[in-house]
Parts: sequence; structure tokens; C-alpha cells
Amino acid sequence: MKCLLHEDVVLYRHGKLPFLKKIFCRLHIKKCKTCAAVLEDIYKEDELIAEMQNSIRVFENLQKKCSE
Amino acid sequence: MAFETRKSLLYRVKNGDEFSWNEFYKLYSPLIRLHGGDFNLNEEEKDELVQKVMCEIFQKDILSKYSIDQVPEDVVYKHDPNVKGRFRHYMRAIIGNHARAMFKKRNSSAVSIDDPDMPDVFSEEDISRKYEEEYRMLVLNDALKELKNKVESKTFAAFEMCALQNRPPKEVAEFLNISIESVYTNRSRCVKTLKEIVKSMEEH
Repeated sequence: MKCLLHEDVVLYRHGKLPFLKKIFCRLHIKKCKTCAAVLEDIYKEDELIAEMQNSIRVFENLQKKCSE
Repeated sequence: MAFETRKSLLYRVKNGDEFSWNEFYKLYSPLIRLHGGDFNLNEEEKDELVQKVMCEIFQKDILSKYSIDQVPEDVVYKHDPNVKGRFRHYMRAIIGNHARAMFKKRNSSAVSIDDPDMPDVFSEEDISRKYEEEYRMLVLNDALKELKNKVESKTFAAFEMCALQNRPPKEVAEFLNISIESVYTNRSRCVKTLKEIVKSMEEH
């Protein structure tokens, strides 16, 4: 069974695939552990992004205090 | 900066390169200020803390004693004996020593600084955990700068606008003249690269 393209899994996660392709991906991910793991990683991207946003906010505040 | 770039920064600072000292100062002073806050230091004290830490590193030539390539065998980080000394652990020790001294000096009006009954209000475990969180923030900020150098500008812009600024993907796509699908795939590509950069930095 050939795995999905990474881009397709990304678009699947964000609900941006055309209808039939979405169905195909869903069925594939149910059977393929590799692609299921890729999907799980893509969901975890949001955690890193939230962490990044917080870090930027903290450092920007620090820089503001330094320049005051 | 990624691990190899950070390693080279330490080498350049060790060799007395003034420009590199400036980079070193800019990189680590936010961390020193953040950690100073964990010891309840005020803004003025944090400024002083940065100066004291940087002076100690410079005057005592700490970087010459720290082996950048080889992690010293005899330096064991207290809370995890299996983790050998990293530069960040040296920094933590220096920051902590100065911050504690400054806190005790400020609060020593009734009690002598050397009085063994002076309470140590800062739990080692708590301070250590906070420092690791703060160091992680430093790494993430630094990793973002590194990411900007590693990917194409449009890719980075899509990531920055969509992921960091929370702009709607449709707006980002229109602004950058790319497809919405590209916005999502660029976002994911950047996060993947970011993870690799962060992983290499955290080894340091």
C-alpha cells in the first residue's frame, strides 16, 4: 500500500482536500499506521506553534522593558 | 542559531572576538533577566544581574574552562545525574549564584547574609524547572531566526502570518499570491524544519 503524500495529509488535517480525495485519505489513514502517525504529528504542530507564540510574546515584552 | 552556529559563537567568544561577545550578550541577556525574575529581583536588579553574569563569564574566562566539544565528565547536573553538563547548566549556576546573593542582600536588613538561619525561599526543583522553561523559550526564539534563514522568504512569510499572527489562510494566500493549499503546506514545512532546528539547539 503506497503511503499518502505529506502535503495531502496536511491538507486532510486542515479540511482542504476535495471530497473524494478526503474520503480516500480517511480510508487509507485508518489502515496505514505510517500515515496515521504523520497525521498525529501534524496535529501536534499546533502545540509547538502555541509554544512559539508564547515565547515570542514573553521576549517581546522583555525587549520593551529593556528599551524603556 | 542552530547548534553548530552556537558552537562557533562560543568558540569566537572564547577567542576574544568582540563582535561575537555582542552577539553572545544579545542572545543570553533575556534569559538572565527572565531567570532573575524567578528570584523576585526587580527591573534594576535584573539589569545588574545581567552585568554581573556577563562580567563573571568574561573576567573569569569561563568559556576557556568550558570544553565546547567535550562535555566535562565531572560536571553532573544535579537533578538528572544522567545528563552531563551543558553550557546552559553553567549559565544556570552562575545566574543562580548571583541572583541568590542579590536577593539575600536586599532582604538581609535584620539578618546577616551569612546567617545559616536565613531561609532559602527558592526551592531548587522549582528554580530548575523554571530555568528549563525559560531556556526553551530562548531556544524557540532563536530557532525562529534560524528558520528565516533556512527557508524561502515566501514560505517563511506564509508561516509567520498564518501560524504566528493567526491570520486567516485565505487572507495570507491573497496577500502572498499563493494558493490556500500552499499556505497550509508551507506552514507544515516550516514547523517540521523548526522542530529539527530546536532539536539541534537543545543538545547544547
